[in-house]
Amino acid sequence: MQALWGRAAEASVRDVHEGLGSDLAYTTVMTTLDRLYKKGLLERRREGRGFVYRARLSHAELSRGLAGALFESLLGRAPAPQPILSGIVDAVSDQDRAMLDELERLVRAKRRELQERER
Amino acid sequence: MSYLLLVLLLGLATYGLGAAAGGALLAGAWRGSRTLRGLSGARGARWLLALRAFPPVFGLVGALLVALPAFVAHEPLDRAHGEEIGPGLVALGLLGSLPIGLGLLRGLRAVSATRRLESRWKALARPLALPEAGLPAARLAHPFPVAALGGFAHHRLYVAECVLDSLTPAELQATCAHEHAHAASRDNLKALLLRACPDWLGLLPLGRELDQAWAGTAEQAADDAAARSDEARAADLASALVKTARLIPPGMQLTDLPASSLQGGELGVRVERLLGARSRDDGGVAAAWLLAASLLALLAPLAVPGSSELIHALLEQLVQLVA
Repeated sequence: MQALWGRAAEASVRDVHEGLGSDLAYTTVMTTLDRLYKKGLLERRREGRGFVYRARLSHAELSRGLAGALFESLLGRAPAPQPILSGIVDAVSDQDRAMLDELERLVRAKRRELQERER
Repeated sequence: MSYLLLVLLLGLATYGLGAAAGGALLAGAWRGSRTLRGLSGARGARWLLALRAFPPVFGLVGALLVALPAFVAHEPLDRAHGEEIGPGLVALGLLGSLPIGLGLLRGLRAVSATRRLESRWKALARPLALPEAGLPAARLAHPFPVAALGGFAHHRLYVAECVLDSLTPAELQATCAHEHAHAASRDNLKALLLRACPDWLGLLPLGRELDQAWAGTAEQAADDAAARSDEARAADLASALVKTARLIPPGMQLTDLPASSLQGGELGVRVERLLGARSRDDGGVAAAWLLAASLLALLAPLAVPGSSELIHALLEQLVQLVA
């Protein structure tokens, strides 16, 4: 959120990834932005193969919202409880589908490498 | 009777205060340490589970081993006549019982929601022979690519037909091994205990963040156990993860899928880890050791002569303050 609050305009995953300047993986930034979008904290629109994001709420608005959510949970108005099961994968979004192409390419490359090593 | 009530209220009040102090310590350590947030794999899962239990343990140790023994030693039943229970102490005691009650409620609601979902699935399920799973398994005609482990004590593996049709035998075997690892480490039961954790963090976003961090490390631990340090097996599991994720109908959100409640375990991170593109280093645990040391520090005053009197005097001040 800080990375997006620091920008006047929208930002792509690559912009945020470069702006953070850390050793975070590109896919981690992509998934985090997607999760923030699903939580309703970001807006996004498609641009090319990916999305560009911008914050829906200012820092102050988010703080007020979090305080409200805390009171709601204390008053028992929390969302319905989730069952507990160990599922192998979570739901994926349209954004993640671009990531799946990249992950599939990595799997193929690894299998090629293993085959070549066996020869 | 009123003496017992006094001890009970003092115990609950000191538990509530201790759990709050433990929660504050944990929050500080979590926010302040990137190393702690970077814990991964089986060791990370064990540490995160212990860390999440830290606030209630801190509260319990504070109440049962520090505060109440000092109070009972210096104010036994025969000398406590005339000790009044003021409304302030009652309020403080009730406040201390709040996280315990809410934790129990969260746990019961989770069990009830899980049972409802499993009943629906059992109605759709047909027996499935999966000897490699080492668990009773059921085949589901479900639009979502379910491959999930149900049950807290007696486990059952649910696999959607679309998953069975899409995975190769090796990929299916790796998937079964992953779920078997969850069963072996009793992850559903641990998730339930985390959900019911009787502390203040359960009411705050940080509590959910810690639960998700644990769920992520539990997924990684199950991935590692299934891969068994075999690169080909790890690639099979990575491929199964990507294939299963591709089967998810577009636009289906997490809220449509109650089965994904053990969230965390980012898919990209897990696949990269399995393929060796990301370090499987479990990370440092210095901050976790700091928290363990703070628990010991709580008990340290007991070793100092006269500490019991001091603790009793502080409790007296507390009772006077809220009387």
